[in-house]
Amino acid sequence: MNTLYVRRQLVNALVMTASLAATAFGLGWLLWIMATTLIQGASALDLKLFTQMTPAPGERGGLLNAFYGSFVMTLIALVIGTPLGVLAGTFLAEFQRKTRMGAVIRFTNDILLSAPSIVIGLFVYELVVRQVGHFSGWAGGLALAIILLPVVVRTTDEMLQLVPGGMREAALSLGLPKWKVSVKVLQRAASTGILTGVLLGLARISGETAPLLFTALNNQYWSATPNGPMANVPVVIFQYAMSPYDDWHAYAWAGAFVMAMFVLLLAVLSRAVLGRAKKHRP
Amino acid sequence: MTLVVDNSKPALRVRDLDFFYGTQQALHAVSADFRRGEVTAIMGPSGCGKSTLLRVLNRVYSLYPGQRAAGEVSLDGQNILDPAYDLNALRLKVGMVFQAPTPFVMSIFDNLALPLTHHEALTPSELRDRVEAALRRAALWEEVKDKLKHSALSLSGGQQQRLCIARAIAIEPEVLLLDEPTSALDPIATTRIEELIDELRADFTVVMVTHNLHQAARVSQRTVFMYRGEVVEQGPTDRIFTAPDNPRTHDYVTGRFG
Repeated sequence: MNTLYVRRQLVNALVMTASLAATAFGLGWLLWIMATTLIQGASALDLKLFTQMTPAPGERGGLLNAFYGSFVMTLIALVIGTPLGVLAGTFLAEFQRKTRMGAVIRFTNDILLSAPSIVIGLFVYELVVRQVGHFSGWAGGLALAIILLPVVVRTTDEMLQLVPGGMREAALSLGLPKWKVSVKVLQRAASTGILTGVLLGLARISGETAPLLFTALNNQYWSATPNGPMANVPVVIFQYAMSPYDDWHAYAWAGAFVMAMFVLLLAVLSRAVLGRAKKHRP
Repeated sequence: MTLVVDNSKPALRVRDLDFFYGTQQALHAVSADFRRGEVTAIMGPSGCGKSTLLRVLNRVYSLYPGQRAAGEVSLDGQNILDPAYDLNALRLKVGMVFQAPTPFVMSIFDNLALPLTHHEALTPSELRDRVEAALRRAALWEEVKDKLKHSALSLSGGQQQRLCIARAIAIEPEVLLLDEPTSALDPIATTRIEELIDELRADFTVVMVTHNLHQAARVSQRTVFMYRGEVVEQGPTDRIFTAPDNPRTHDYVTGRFG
């Protein structure tokens, strides 16, 4: 009896230690990445980073054009991807819930979700860049939209399926047509969950490099419109990090730090949104 | 107001109704009448088909493929089971309140405004009047008149259920279906809802499913007793509870089974 107890205590201590070590191992990398990017990029991390253009080697500057370009292309992706994704997800959840067609669409969407982003970059290169004849921010935004789309479709589908069936029945029992029930009642009930999906999709596309290499390329200078090649943070990081200049390296590290922080904040924000939603669920 | 209503003709007539969940038959040749100005209680043990019967009356079951009804349910002389019968028109006439409150994730006002503005063209002031009238009839107005813009989810369970009743009656249906409307509520909230149901029967044909014998006795004028998908007995509630014809009804109302 006593030896059994001791044995359990021992096993408990062992498993606890192993679990803690595994957690520390996982989180350690995150801390390491944040610390390294912060330390290495410290010399370039100041207000000028957000107010000045990418510098030539040996000069001072910032990453304003890259941040702006990333912002514009992400916005294009959101504007294209969110409504399409929400509509498709609603179609799946409300009109194709247990049908064969729904299963096929979900399967296809999951393939798109896990498609290598470089393939999507090449696809948009063929579709837009080669046809138009030059790289552009529009093409970059479109490539990001194709990556965002399946994330939004899937979350919308899942979040709508989580809405209690009673709410659907109650809304239909008021003589409201199905589309109105979907849009006015169910999407609203699932809105925080859908928003979380959009935020997570946003976090995913904001760090994508491969699809932008083939579409938006890069731009050393300010480009106000997405009509031509556009600077963006991931490609600038790539270009500067590969360069032989130490001051460019510092800008690459600083850019990496800001991106990592941005994605971390988005993840925290989406958690907070979802947490609030759970508390308010009837 | 009820006194002038012709009670001899039932508002809803169910004849030889069979119902299937896939291949499983849940209702067997059910026939029942539901009259204006009365609360009809459908009671019986779990799984007897009482909720199924209620869900046929506004065809809410048709949301689920595989569920199917055969027979006749006539409302105003028309068979609502006819595939050509417009579902939204049917549900405008036959409202429903569910076991668990189902407030929509929007303001108290919008919960009522959504169905009202869909079915009728109302000016903003008419809309406000109609919302107020419905909330008054559901005995909720005094509690929410200062917070109509608040989320409906901020209300208590009993208030949410009265909001759902207000929402159902705002569009002025002929029939009001209540599926165990108090089983998720505490005794005080239950009393309020029961008083409300008694008032509502003046204007609506009320059909209420309940597993609570006392509630059926307190609230209803007529009772339908169901067992294993069949109607065993139906009649005035007083008689069903004091002098039932069928021995099984007798056993049930005296608490010997169920």
